[in-house]
Amino acid sequence: MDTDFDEMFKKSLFKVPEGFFEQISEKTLAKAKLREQNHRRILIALGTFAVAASLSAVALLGYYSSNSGNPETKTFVQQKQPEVKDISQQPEINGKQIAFAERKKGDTVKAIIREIKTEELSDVLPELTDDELLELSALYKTDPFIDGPQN
Amino acid sequence: MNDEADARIFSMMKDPALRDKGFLQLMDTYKVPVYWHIRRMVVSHEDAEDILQETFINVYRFAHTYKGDSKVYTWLYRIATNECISHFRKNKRWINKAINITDEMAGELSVNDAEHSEAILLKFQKAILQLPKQQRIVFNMRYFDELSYEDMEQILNSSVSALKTNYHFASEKIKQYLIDHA
Repeated sequence: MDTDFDEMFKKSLFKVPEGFFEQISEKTLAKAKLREQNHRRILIALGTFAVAASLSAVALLGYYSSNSGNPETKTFVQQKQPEVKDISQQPEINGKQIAFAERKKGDTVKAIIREIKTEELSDVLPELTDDELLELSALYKTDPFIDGPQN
Repeated sequence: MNDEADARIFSMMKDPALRDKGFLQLMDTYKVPVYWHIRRMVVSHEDAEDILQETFINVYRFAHTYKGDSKVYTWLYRIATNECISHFRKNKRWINKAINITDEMAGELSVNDAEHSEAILLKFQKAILQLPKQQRIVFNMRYFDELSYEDMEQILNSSVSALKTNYHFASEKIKQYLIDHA
């Protein structure tokens, strides 16, 4: 042995509680059995959870698969997107059209037409509905104060 | 530490009916040297008791993994040493300052009387506590447990030359400490 120190240094200064070595074996065995029992319980619980999770997943999959052809079935993925107007096709918005739109509320077509000059009318015509256009053409024919083809 | 007795104990532990009896026999054979191996590293009795129990609980649960390619006590020492190292890692707050560690750990030592030899023993233990962890483990195993370098190689998974170097440096540091504090 290549020890540089006398054997006397092997004497221990550490204290050990009385009866420790007599009791430790049984105490450790009891703890080991308890640990193994708890470990088994955890494994059973995990296994049960895994089976339950798998069954739930299969059930959900079956449910969505059976409902995938139903047009009334809506998922948040399948909801119709709101129709987006292609603004490149819309008539150019200008100040005159905006002014007409503001006046349109509650006013009759006849009253509006009286206020709008001829050169403005061409700007607002695209904004008129079909009924309003019919009403306008009727006025055009009968109202003496609206310029038109000579009768 | 008889190879035949060890083989008989492990065959008992593989039999469910004799497992507990075999475990108690194993623990009764090795609890004292394993306890002191742990205690010299961690110093505190409470910590040593916990680690001793963890060591043998692992043996109880994983006795089937012992393949018989090493001696039983080297296998046990390896488990115990790994548990000690885990203990050091978990208690990192102790490891921040080596000085604080040794003061706290040195407080666990007792001097029963004022005799000169006891005082030298106390200095000797304090010198060991000042060592870096790896050197302390190697020194304790070589000096106190009287393990061969070949056995230590299996326990610590380190080469014989590295172990000899560690032991040499540890011894030099302890001697210097004793000289400085004479």
